[in-house]
Amino acid sequence: MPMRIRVRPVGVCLLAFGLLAVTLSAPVAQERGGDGFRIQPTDIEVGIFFSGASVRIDAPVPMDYDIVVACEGKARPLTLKRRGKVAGVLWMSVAEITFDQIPPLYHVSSTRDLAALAPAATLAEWGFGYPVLKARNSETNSDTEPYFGELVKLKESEGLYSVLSGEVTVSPQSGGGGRASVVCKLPAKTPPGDYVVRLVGFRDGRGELLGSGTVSVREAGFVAFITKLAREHGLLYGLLAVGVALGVGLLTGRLFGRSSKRGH
Amino acid sequence: MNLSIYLPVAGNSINVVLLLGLGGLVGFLSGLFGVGGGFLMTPLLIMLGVPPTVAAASDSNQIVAASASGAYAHARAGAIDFKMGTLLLLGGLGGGSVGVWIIKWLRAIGEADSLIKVTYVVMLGGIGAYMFFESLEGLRGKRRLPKTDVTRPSFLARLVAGLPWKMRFPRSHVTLSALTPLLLGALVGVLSAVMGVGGGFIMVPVMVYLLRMPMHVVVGTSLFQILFNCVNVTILQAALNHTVDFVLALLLLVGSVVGAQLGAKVNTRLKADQLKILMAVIVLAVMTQMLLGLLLRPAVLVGYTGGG
Repeated sequence: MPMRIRVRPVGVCLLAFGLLAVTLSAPVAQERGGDGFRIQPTDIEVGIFFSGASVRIDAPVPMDYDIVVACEGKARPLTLKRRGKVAGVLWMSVAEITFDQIPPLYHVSSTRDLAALAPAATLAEWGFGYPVLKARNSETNSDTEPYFGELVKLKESEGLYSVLSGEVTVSPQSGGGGRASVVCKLPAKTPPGDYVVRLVGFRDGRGELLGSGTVSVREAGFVAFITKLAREHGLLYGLLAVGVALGVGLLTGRLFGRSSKRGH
Repeated sequence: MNLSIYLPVAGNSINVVLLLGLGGLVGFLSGLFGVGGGFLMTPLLIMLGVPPTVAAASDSNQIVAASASGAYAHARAGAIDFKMGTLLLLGGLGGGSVGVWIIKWLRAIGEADSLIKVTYVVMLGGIGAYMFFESLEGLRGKRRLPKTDVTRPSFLARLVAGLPWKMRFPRSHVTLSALTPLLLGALVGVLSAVMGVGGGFIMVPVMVYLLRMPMHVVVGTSLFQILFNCVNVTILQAALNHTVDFVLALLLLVGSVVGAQLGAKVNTRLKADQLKILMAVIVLAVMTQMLLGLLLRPAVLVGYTGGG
């Protein structure tokens, strides 16, 4: 007698949804540049429980190289409020200041202090270090120079900027050479977009690109739906937001009213 | 365990328990004092990492729920003067529009931030100190009785008495010109637009000290007009500036509607002077925090545009 198996439609849907979710959320490793260069994951989905992500970058490297790993977004203009003293007593916003080339994310990690790896001109060519970013902005707007340090403080406090030496580790491999690795932390505040990752080896003051790739941060699911609704259908979104708030408020008022009546 | 939730419009992740607790605390104050709580909630949200414009707009959205819940409770208790509330609301909407234009002009000449902060400190300091000392006298039983044998009323009293369109407000037990709540509503509307808040903490003292309304009616009536003001602000902010974060507002409002009900219950158990002195302490604490923010050197000398 053939065995009959009851299949519940809800169970099938949940199983399918689970498999789909696992498939979609599985981290994808990327290899580009040199052999064995890996970025994991390369696609980060910003869902409702997103609280930041860690991206592991590793690659085989010669043992006598110093390594720098950079993860950065495309530079764009950024206008900030500048705070200063008014009437000699009160700290207030006194003016706006525009930096012309500010990456939304800028993490640079290295095996040693950047200044010990290469001359300033070489580091500038590679775009490594805060002095390089400062100089780029001062070229087009010299007024930004005194406030660049404050901008770095602001971005570092949000976890969007860091320049760290000693963060990249190189471990010897059995077949010769070593494997460099570093974990780049993207905070929850990371704006959606594509971020370029470069792994550069330095020897005798000269750099060599050993690997590069891209990390994509994308809004997904409910977050993407809400963001799209808020940006593209603002009036409808506002009416819905007010409707839900009114509904919840009145419902709670009614429920509490009833319970208080029962209480008396 | 990850208790953080991502806020799509704010673009940041914040602990859920923290947001529910914050909503509950501000909702409690809302139900207790008849204030929207924007003057307290917005700075706290900014401290948690929400962009200032998103904090202010989402706060308006959650105040809709808290004030609807609170107003419902007060309406059932017969503690809303709908006639007075409607006139104050009409004046407030007109004044709010004027205030929006004033702030637009000030932003254009680069003086908006300075004016907002100084106005905050002066208003909060003045109202808080007056309420505190007045309530303290009341609690000590030293309040001077109003002089009934005054032969020559003050200029303000004569001005108010001379206004046309006298109206009886039975629930508040006062007879006033319809212009009085309209003009006072407009004045509060201007101030609340300039300061970027719902205006409950200004409206409550106006009702108590200028309109001479009884405290138990003041709270419900204030919530009634805050509700409509915040509905208006939320829709405008969502449609024009896209700064309302629904997820943030939803978490805050879940906490705040519960807090508002508890606040409304406590409200009926406290004396008017006890309520006023508590409100005064909170207003003065916020004023002190803002004043320190103005006097002490900030940790970072630059900040994002778009908020206080």
